Amino acid sequence: VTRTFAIVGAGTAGGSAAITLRAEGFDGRVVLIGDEAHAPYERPPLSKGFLQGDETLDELLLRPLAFYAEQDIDLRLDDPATALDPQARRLALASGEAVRYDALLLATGGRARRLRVPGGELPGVHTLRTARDAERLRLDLLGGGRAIVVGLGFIGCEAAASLRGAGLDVVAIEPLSLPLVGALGPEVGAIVAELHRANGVELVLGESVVEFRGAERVDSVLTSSGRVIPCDFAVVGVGMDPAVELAAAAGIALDGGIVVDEHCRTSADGVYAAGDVAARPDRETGRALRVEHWQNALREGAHAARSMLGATDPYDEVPWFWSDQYDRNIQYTGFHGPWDELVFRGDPGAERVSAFYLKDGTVRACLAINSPRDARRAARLIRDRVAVDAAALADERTDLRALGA
Amino acid sequence: VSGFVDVCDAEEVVEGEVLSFPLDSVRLCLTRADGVLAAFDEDCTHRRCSLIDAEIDGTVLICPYHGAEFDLRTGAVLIGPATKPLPLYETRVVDGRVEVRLP
Repeated sequence: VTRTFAIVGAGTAGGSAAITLRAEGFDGRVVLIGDEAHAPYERPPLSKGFLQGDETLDELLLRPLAFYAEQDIDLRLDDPATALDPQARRLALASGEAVRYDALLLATGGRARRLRVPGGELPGVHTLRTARDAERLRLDLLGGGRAIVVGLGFIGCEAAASLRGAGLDVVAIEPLSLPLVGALGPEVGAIVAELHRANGVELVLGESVVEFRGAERVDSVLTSSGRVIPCDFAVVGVGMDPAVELAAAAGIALDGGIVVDEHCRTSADGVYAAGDVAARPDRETGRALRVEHWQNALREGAHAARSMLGATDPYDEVPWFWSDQYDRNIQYTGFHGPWDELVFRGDPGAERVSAFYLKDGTVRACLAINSPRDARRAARLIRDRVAVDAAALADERTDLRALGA
Repeated sequence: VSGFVDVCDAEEVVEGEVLSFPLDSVRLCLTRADGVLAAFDEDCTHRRCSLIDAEIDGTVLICPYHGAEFDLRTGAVLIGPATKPLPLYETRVVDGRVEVRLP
């Protein structure tokens, strides 16, 4: 009897899972169900090269469209799954079709959060998650003028850099005291703030947007201090919400995302989850953590596929992502969480510097600016909980591969 | 058919370090992986990022920017995001000098 493996969500995690099922020799039926019009593509360039017009969507595809036919992967685009019955092992699609499955992967990702303020839905107020979002934003970018970026997390920072690169005036509004300060702390936040200032972004820190104004489309924003800032359009980067509705309605356990174990199994028999939507209890604290990184989507999607095929090794990837802003390649590896010591390797004011986040004498995370090798080599220190000497870590002559080896 | 061209002293190429040689026809990189010389294209096949800062781990090359991994013995992709193999070039050592066969 031919088995059917269904995958809901044709993003990076879902695409990676489908590719892996075939690469591992699965010869049953693979159905890959997506709610977008495109075959799986990489999202990271949407705020970078794609937005700047350097790359086309075809270049972002995980695999060329023809791959799916060649690999006998049944690709259902623009056809969201609308209901899931885990007992009957059946999915309903918006087109009306029902899909019976033997194993199911939920890789539904999430949606960009919008600001719930007056005018938040006005034309010209963009979010940035999908190719369609990026295409719309690019049209406004081509019109030039002044852009307001709301929120200086990674998406906001990258959007600001891309818009400056295209020659627009950029005002960035962030409610916290510094960019990325929640995730990276004030020391690194200050470096990122200076990077954007040096590249001509006007930073409005410690203020939030309370209203988007305009008749037909946005033409200004009102900030919490009462300041009115005129603009031609705005980009909102205030995070994402995981798309858990299908799982929730099916009674699958949630905790800030779909709860999975180290094999990507959910609370429902035969149902797995991976990527932005999956939340896994942290080894140390037991707190469920979602990882919203592209690399995690790619690798966790592949891991889920192997689990569906019976593999029993646990998922133990150290989270890693990169961000390209101006002439800086910024990489982060490790686990978010409290730290008790921050060690710089290199001069914090230099173009090339790394920051190591330590707790109890072990490295928990590394933020590397124009030092990709530091991030790469830190991953082992983080995974193996290597006890490190802060002075040795700070010394650029120290080979990170030799620490604790 | 192009033949071998002289590139550098063999002893300059040390284990795990990447040397770059921007030649007319190719931007060439050289390393020594598990003791064996490997000559490859400087541009990662994923997004054309430079592989000069690549990490060499045994016979595996890791793109420093987006993490694609290639087998330096065959050029094959081991882990995405890259989908196309890394172009490799044949090498030989003559009188202590590295020569690479260019396309």
